[in-house]
Amino acid sequence: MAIEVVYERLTDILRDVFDDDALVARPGLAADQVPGWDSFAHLRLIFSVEKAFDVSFSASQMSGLKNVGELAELIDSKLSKQ
Amino acid sequence: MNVPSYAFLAFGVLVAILINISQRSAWRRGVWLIANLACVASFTLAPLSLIPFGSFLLFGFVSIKVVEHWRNRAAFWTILVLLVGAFCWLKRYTFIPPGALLPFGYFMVGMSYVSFRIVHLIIDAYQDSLPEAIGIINYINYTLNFPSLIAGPIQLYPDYLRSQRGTVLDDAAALRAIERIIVGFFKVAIVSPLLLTLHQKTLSEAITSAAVGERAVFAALMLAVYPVYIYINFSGYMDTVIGIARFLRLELPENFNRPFVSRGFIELWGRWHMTLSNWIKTYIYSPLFIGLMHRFPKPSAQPILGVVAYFVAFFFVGVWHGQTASFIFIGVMFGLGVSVNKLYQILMLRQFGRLQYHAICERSIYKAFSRALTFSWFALSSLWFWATWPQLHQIALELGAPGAALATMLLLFGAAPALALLDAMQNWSAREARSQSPLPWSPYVRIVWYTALATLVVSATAILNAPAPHVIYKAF
Repeated sequence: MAIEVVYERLTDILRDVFDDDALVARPGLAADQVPGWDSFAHLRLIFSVEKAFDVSFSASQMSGLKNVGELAELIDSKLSKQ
Repeated sequence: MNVPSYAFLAFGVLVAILINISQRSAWRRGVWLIANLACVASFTLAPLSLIPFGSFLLFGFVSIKVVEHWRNRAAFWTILVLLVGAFCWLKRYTFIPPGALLPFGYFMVGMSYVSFRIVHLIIDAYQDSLPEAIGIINYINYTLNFPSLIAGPIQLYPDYLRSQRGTVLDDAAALRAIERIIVGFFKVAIVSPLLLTLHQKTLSEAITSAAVGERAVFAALMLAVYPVYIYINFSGYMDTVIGIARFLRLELPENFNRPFVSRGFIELWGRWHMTLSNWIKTYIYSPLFIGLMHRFPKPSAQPILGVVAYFVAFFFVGVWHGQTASFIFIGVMFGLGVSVNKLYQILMLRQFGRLQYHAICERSIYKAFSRALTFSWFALSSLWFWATWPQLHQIALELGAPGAALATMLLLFGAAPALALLDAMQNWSAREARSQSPLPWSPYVRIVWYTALATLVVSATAILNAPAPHVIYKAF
């Protein structure tokens, strides 16, 4: 799957989880730039990503992500291993 | 060897000199190994007393290698259960029959913190998330890392490796480290015993004062002083070990970030004992919440699943603090604190929407009472840290229902302005520090200030001639 497609699907997921149609997934987007992105919302996001891309994350991967760019790269690396 | 103490400081200086002789990795790993084992040996040299802890460490290392090479779910869970069982057994949890316990005394300083590191390594090894395979020397150096052996912080292995390889020790870093060591000693040796004395005095007055009103005032003070005492005591220890580790070219993670200005119990755990709460969030809360969402995938169930996961995770935090049934109450209080906080946030968001709820949260009076409620709940939860059941019974009898209600109200309404003032002062101080205002943050003022503090600490400890102060989290 091309990384652009990963970002497109992440945009849909972000809009759904944070209930904000203006959100666009981009590499530098981080939790402190999105209202309501706390640890609770973060895990709802991870769950939605796991379901949408059929991947799973380890405990340290879930908590170690700094921004959407790292999430997209992680998804991409998991998809390429499948 | 107690921490902080002059003996520990001298030991840290000696290791710092040796470690900085050469930048070669093998040299530094060797010095760390000898220093870590020497620190353990400073507590006991009796081989028999070291066998249980040593076996526990060895079991941890073998477990990591087993799950690394044989990623089997059943083996992983069996190992985790055995490890947690061995921990409870060695820590003498009261649910274990006395006859099943080892019939001799043994070394177990820092065992809780070592266990967190071992469990983290096992889980990450099983999930293939370790940055590299861990060898026996790195394993010993990481799990027994002497600056953080006694009471943490719980540094995760990737951060430990990064820090070991990239921490620079320049003049500015060395100066900051010295300042932190002085502040740490000042907090633990001077402020913390004063607060403990004040707590004991208020406890005594809360029981013996003649009028109910007076007893309630002292009870409120007694409740308020104890969290401040734990904070000063534990953060003083943290200041000292972070400062000493800096000279060893190791950057330890922070454990505190202005906890008493927290406006909710969830926020409090993002500011108090941060390395413990991060560990709990990473290895209990997150996997549990994700697992529950996979088990019950309806989106409408997610809020309640999150609340349940919060309760379980922070119930564990409370229970971890001790071996007796009293700590179950702390677990329930902590669990209720975070789960009710989350539930409230969800309901408020549903009722008012994000923008309006945010506007409500920013009102000064709302912020003041959010801080006060958070602090009061933490103070009430802390009751089981220091009071026995007979003491609690006696306090309840002396206060009666009206006295207890009055004490709680005094705590809440006293904390609101006090913590608002603290928040304002800390914000002002942070702004001034950022603007590098010439007077209070000039190097000259800082040198005078820290020299005065150091002189005070040395004079007071020399005059008092008391043993090295006790760090409360050593017991956990």
